[in-house]
Amino acid sequence: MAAVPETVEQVKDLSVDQYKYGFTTDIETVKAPKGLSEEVIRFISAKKDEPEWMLAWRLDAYERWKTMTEPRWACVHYPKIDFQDLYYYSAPKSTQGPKSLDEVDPELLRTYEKLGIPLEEQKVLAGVEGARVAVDAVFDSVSVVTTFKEELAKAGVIFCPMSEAVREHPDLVQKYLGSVVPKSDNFYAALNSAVFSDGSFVYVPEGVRCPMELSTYFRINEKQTGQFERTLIIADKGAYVSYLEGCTAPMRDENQLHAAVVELVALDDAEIKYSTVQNWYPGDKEGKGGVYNFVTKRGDCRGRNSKISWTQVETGSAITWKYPSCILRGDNSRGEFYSIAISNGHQQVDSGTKMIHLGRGTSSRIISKGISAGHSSNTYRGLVSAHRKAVGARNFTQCDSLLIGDQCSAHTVPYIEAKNAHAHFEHEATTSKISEDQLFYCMARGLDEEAAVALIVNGFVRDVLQHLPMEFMAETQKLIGISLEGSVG
Amino acid sequence: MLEIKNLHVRVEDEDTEILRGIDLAVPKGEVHAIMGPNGSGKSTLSYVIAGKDGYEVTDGSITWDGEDLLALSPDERAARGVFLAFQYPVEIPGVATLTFLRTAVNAVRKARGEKELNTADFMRLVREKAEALGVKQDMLKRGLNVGFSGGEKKRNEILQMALLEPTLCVLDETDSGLDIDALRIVSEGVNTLRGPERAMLVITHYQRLLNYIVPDRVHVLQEGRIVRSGGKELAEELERTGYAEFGEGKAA
Amino acid sequence: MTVQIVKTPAEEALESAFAAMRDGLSGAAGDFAPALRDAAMATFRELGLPGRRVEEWKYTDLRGLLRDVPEPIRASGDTLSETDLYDVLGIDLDEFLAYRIVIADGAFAPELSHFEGTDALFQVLPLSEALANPPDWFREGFGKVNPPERDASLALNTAFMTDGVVIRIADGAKLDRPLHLVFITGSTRRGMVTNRNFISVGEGAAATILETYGARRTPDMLRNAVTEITLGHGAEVEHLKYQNEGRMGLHLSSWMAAIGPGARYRAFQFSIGAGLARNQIFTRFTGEGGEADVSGAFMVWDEQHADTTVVIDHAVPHCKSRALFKGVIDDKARGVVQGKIAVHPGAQKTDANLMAHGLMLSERAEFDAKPELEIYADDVVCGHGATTGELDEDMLFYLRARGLDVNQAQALLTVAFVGEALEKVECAPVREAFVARAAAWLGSDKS
Repeated sequence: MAAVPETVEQVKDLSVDQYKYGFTTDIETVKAPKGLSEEVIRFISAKKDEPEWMLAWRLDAYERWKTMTEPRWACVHYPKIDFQDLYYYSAPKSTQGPKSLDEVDPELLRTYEKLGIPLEEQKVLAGVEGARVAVDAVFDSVSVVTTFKEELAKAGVIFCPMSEAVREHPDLVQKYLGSVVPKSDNFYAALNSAVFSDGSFVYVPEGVRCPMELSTYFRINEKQTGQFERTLIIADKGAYVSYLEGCTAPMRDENQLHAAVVELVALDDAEIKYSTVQNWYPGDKEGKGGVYNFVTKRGDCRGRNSKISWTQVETGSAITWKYPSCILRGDNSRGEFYSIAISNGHQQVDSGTKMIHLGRGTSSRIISKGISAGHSSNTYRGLVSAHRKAVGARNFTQCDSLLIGDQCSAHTVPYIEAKNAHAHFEHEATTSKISEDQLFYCMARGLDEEAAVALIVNGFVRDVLQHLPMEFMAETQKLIGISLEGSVG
Repeated sequence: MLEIKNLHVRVEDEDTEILRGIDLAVPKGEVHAIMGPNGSGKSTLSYVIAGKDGYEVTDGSITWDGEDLLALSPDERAARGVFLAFQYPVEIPGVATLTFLRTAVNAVRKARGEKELNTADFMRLVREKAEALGVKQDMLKRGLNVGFSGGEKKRNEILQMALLEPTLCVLDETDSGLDIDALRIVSEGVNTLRGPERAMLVITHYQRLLNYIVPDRVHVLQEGRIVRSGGKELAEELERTGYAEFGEGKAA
Repeated sequence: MTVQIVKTPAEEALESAFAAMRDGLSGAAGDFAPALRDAAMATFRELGLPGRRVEEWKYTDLRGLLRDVPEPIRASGDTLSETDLYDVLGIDLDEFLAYRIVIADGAFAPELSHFEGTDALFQVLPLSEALANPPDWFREGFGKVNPPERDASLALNTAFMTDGVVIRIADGAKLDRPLHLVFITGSTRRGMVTNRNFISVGEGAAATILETYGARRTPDMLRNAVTEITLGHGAEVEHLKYQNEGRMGLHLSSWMAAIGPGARYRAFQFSIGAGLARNQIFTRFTGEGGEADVSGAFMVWDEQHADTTVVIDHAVPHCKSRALFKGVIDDKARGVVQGKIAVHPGAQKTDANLMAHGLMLSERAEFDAKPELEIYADDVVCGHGATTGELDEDMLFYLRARGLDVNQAQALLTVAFVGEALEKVECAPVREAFVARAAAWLGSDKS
């Protein structure tokens, strides 16, 4: 399985530009009225058949959001967003909530097939696709299907759309939702809390090692529609889960807004591994269109010896604003952030992480590789902090930037804050370009320039690649090549 | 005399015991060797004698000349004549070797109630001892152990031993990383310090070093216990048979 | 979106002090200074005192920390002697052969200054005179040497500057002795002192310039000192600073340097005094082939706060910069190092590196670092690094196993730590004085 299509060649025929997933799906939808208001929120909540407490929670978030302003500190530039000129809910008409596979609109199945996402369990079981992965497919505002649910349930693992969890597992949702990213955490998180549509919910009970990789595949299809998914993953004591996330969107001239919130909670001795391949539509060569990806992702290492690891491959979106973070609250907990961020064309990336060391003996590691090409701007922004009680906190950060061409830019903005003598932090950063010697060597051995660049870039990012699940690794290597097309010569 | 009784040690915050009841007595004037495979607890023993943080003595005692060593800080032990020649001497950039040597010599002399050496006397002393060990003057000007080869580091350790005139010398894997010539020089340095007032504990994995520094007694350390003791012929026996013959442990 | 914030008492005091003093400040009668001061005050009125909301002042909340503003100090008539200089500076002036220019209590003190017979090498003017009767070269350059945008502390300096040193070093002049600029306050009354220096170094000239700052009696002076320096083609300058102001005082300092083609600029600041010290260094290459080393060290204890904020602008190609900062922080003190390397579009073949290291000697110490790269050209080699931590336990154990007690071992390692930065100082007597001062600081003579 792969969230990124396996056969690059095949998909190439589908698109006219560099982007390979730019097709649209022609399907009837149900939408909320345009704009954002209490009525729209009530509409969304009613559509999802939510209990009263969920609606109250949304409305509270909405009240808070109205008093907040958009963050301006990131190194990204875009025209003011008219939040009343968006649709906040859109769902395929045929699928009011997830059903069994044979009830899913065949048009949708074809869409995911084109994207290389297998939704038919038998096909996966036949072993054609290699490793088994359970998939939750989210199309615009709703989850269309979740696979392997029954098999997971046998192990006690809950894996279902968020909307279903709100109805079926209210205790867990009420206990953990908003406990890592509070409603009023930031402008986009508040917006998401008010209007979130769907996303995945995962609960791995005490002592359970999730028997397969879990995965969500997000697709924005509808025009002028924001996608506001909400994901919540809880690994109870001693549990382990690996979760993969993939995203694409059609090519559209106007910008699409994506403001997701992901919350992870790891209790004592639990481990969560969260991997993302983000390949939203980046806009065309002139910088027209593309997804605004304003995402809040945060993990809470709440228990002793817990571990949360973020791995991200960011190649898409016109603008990325995203800082998957770890709150290292439990003693001896560990946070990791491995990132590859590639920007080309007119893309703007401002991404990084926060490692907040609160507990004793906590450790964290950050490896960030940024590659800028074309006219793009690529910023690493990170915070590593140790609070008074975080005795023995340790961090190592390595962040490297590679520039391809003289019209792009690369920025590195780390904040290192130690309020404790027994914290040891080490930060290193470099910026360089691909050496002429390396390029010449590869070309002298017969590689064309783009292939040589892709090869060298793959070498540059290998420290991060090795942290990706096997399923993602080969795809990512190909994706790097595609993302950098047209960056040289 | 160095006396170790029923010594139990574990690494702080870890449950596994590394030393599990060591009994050992090294009288002045004698050289004892501790041999054992990797992971048997040899280095832990040397660190606990010298007073490194991070180890917890859960039971037992170590005395030197009747005085409880465990109650003393590392520098107080050094003042009492305890010297550990490190297996991996740490590099300290920015501290010139010569500055360090003088600070150490005078700190120890002061603590022992001796007069501190003035610059000229100190330089004379260092030059004399350094020459004997083949330590070059330019090495002394460099940062402490910074950029020293393995052999240079070990020679620097022995130079410090010669300067500080300890009465209890613990040599931790002093032969590791040395070629045959360096081994000879280092061993000669050690041998000239042998004397009736001095006790030595030579910790090593291989018998090779003991051809040069011939011990009075040999003890075999395995899984945190001394499993056998004997004369110098025990080392030769070990060389032939390997550690597997002893106890339930496996060969290293 | 800017939110109108209520003015603090200190901001109000500064504005009313300016209104009251404006017509009595140096150069008030001329056509040059008043316009500069008015514009600067307007900027300050708009910006206010910088606090946590201002990114560049994130770790140094001047707005919150500056509670009130004392009256500006005027020449007190309380004369300072050579002995006072020695006490404050800790440098034996008899041993340190230099051309000395002293600004005492905010005004040029000719009786303490010695730079006779040097007209062929350089020209010296008190700032007060230059503001009253500005020579053309001063009028053209003053206030325009790489000024940071929207910086409140610079604006305050321009508004309130009383005196300082204006120096023009002739083309090709190789100074045989360092220029020693001494800024000292002898007043027993708490007060505000605002100095401004302007140094123009001619083509191919070479000089060592040492600025020292200290207060004789009053622990809580409020100092704002700015130096503008331009290096002509191929000039070579070592620019040093020693700051040992009273431990309750505020020391705001900005250096603005413009480095001409092929010029070599070495800046070093050693800071141990003041309750709150903010040392800003803005460096810009204005011609190709320039080289800069901008480094420093600070040692703080008690509740001191030392902030070093550096910006190195690679505005042109083929320049090289290095920066190394070391901070030793004891007790509840706080150290901050912010360093930005900015490579402008087209500044190819830039080679830049910045390192910041904090060493914390106590439980409650705090160190914040923000090294930044802002890169708009691809053919560059840039890097930065930052570390924070306490003394290495293995090193401490090694030294203690050789008989050094815990204090000796810590002192040796700490001096080695700052020593790596102090080694950057090329002027031997100053370097040795700094090293001795660092050792004395550890030996508990921390004032």
